[in-house]
Amino acid sequence: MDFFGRQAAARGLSRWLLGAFAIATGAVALAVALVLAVLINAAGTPEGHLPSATADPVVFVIAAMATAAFIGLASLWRLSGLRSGGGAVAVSLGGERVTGLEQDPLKRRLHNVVEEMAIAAGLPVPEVYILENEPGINAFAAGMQPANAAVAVTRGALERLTRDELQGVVGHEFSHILNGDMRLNARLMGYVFGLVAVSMAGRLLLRGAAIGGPRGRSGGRRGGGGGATAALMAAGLAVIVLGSIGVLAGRILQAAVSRQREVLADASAVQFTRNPEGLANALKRIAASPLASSVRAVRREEIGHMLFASGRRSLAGLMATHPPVAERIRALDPNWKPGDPPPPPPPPREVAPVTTAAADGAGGRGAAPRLPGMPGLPGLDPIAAAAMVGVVDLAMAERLLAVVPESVHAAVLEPEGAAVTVLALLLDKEPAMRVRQVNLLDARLGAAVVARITATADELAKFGPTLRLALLDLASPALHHLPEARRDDLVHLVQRMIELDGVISPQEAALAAALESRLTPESSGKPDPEGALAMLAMLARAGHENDAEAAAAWTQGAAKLEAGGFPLPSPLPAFSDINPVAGAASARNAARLAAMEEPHRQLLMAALAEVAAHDGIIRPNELQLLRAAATALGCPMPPLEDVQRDDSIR
Amino acid sequence: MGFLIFLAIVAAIVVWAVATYNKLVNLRNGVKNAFAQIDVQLTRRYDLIPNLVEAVKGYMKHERETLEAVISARTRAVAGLKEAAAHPESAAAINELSGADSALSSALGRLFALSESYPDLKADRNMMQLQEELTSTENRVAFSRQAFNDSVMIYNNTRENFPNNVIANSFSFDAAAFLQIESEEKRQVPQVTF
Repeated sequence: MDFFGRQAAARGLSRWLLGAFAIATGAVALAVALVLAVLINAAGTPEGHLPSATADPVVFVIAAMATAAFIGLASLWRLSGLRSGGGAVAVSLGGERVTGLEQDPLKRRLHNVVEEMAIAAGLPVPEVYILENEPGINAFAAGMQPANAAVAVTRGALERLTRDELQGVVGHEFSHILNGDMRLNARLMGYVFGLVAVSMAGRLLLRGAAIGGPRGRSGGRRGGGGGATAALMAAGLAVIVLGSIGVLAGRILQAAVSRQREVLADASAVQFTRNPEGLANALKRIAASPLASSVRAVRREEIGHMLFASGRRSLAGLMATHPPVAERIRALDPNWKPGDPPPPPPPPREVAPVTTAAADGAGGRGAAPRLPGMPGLPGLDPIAAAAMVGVVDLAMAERLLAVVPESVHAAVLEPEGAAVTVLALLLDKEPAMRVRQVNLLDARLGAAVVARITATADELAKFGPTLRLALLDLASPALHHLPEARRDDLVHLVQRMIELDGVISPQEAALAAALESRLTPESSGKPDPEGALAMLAMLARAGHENDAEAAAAWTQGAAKLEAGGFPLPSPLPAFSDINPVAGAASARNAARLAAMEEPHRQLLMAALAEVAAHDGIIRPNELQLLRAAATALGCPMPPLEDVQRDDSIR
Repeated sequence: MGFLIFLAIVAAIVVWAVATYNKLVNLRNGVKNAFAQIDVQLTRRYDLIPNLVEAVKGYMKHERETLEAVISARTRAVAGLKEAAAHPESAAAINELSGADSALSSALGRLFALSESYPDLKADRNMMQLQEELTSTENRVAFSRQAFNDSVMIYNNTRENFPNNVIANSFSFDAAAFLQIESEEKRQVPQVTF
């Protein structure tokens, strides 16, 4: 297929059609102007004379300009109603936004395909929507400019097309974006509406004549009154007829332009994908079952022209927005015959149930469960624990997701829901405190949001601390999609909430610091020896009963830091001198530590793991602190065995 | 009167020359941007591979050699990309990069071929996701190359057409070169055995 040649041909043809459209509109305007000029001339004839069917050229020119202006204004009025971004159009048709962060593999694939096509077409990535309730195979593009464009795909297209076919369909929609077809179509719709307005004006004229006539008669016969009414009616009829002819011609030409743009889009899709087979197979599937491309909810005039395949059947001939499917297939695959069987359906995607078996089978303590995709953790060996630190592990997220209920999970993946979840995580368990927090939120965010937050908090109450921290991790990609001002607001609000009770627990401090470091990712800070030593001391005190053991563990951790090149004060301060900071200081500490450069953060994490494992046992509270620290330091740490013990839903 | 006509013609020529010059500049920048995209997508690809190896490791204990081959090919490709990004004009650096990249492709190909015999691994959601990501990335690399070549073609066509070539030649808009498959490995059709 010579796709560049076909593109050039389609472009040339649509240019001719646009010229014809302009000529048709102009002709209607001139004809209407002529009618008006004759009418005005007739009104100007003195009483008793028969009006002559001539027109004054000056009057004619003025009437022509007035008609053109009228058509133009009507078009503009219609256009102004259309000027919303593509996303708004997609949402109004029931589209759900796809961000590429979903768990649904089909949605991820769709988002990937769209991103790939954006590269191939050299366009910014548009917003992606899915029409969940449409089982047919179809797609559309919306939005007047490439910068606010959106691509929407039906659920049917996602499920019934292979990846290559989907790519062809999305490539087709990208051509509409690249070639400005939405803009073109909107403009044509505007012009057609201008012509509709002309015939509406004719109807008004006719009605005016019908009302004006009898009154003229009853009010005493005046010479020429009947003649004027007749002239008015004739003019009205003429304008209606002219307008209707214009509308018909306009619609036919608009459809013809649309068909050429479809040819252009098919050819461009092949240019983008260099794979005519994908697009051809998608079309063959549509050809195989007559209703395959039907779409239920479509504002046809606006979107009908941008659909991948005609949204309704039996729309053939002059008014069809799309060339016949068979013709489109033959352009891609000349050997195809209408009776040919469609390509085999894509294989169903078998998905193994994830990790629930592993989660259940974790009864035996000590032996860490073997998980798919994750090397087994040999017990709670600090070396292994430290080695795992910093490994961003997809398997870990997968495991957690198996435990997180669908509603919470879904919320965390979109920006608003993620913000709500973060705030819900911070709500205090103690009722009095909670009331104060809710009041604060109520003043800042309004009752509707607060209701959502408390509902989420109730749901989260079932989770143990590990999952709560992990939820923050899951939420942070979506939080990045918040506008910057909202993000700053959120960080601020989180700090206010935490400081309400005047006491900051290590958990809270970790959460706030983690949030801040996620949302404002700058890691140019210097290493912070006091903070690091205080953090080690806090962990050492939590994990050991008597001070001597704690001091030994702390010294070992400090040695580890020193060995790794962490700048520490040269005579180490005595363990007893170090106050494991509580309250506001620890929040600031955590934030400072989180701002350190990555090697230092990892070193500190390794030292913490060493302190925790000093006496050979890692207690639950130690582990929680360790994990809180890992979250705050931005060194993700795979859950060891505690997820199953503490966090499985009770 | 004659002078006025002359003036109008000169003005028209100047306007045309400016428009043509600007168009050529835009197209040339488009070519540069398309090249940058390739770089971005290759980096994305190399970043994905450690995750893949991590995911597969648990299942494919006995395929150590294959895994190591993937890792070392990736290391070489990352180094090659760095070198090529530093000296984009050096043909040797570009050659090394494309050689390393295709070595990586074939190592990955072996890995995926082997993974066929591990049904657990094939059904693993994590693995499926990674495979989708890798497919997508390979496509992105291919599409960015193709977008680069398309933009080179449009630029060269505009540059060489008469009368644009007058402007192009007097302001030294040089022809852009197409990306070609330099290494022998890439020309080879993959061997499929059953």
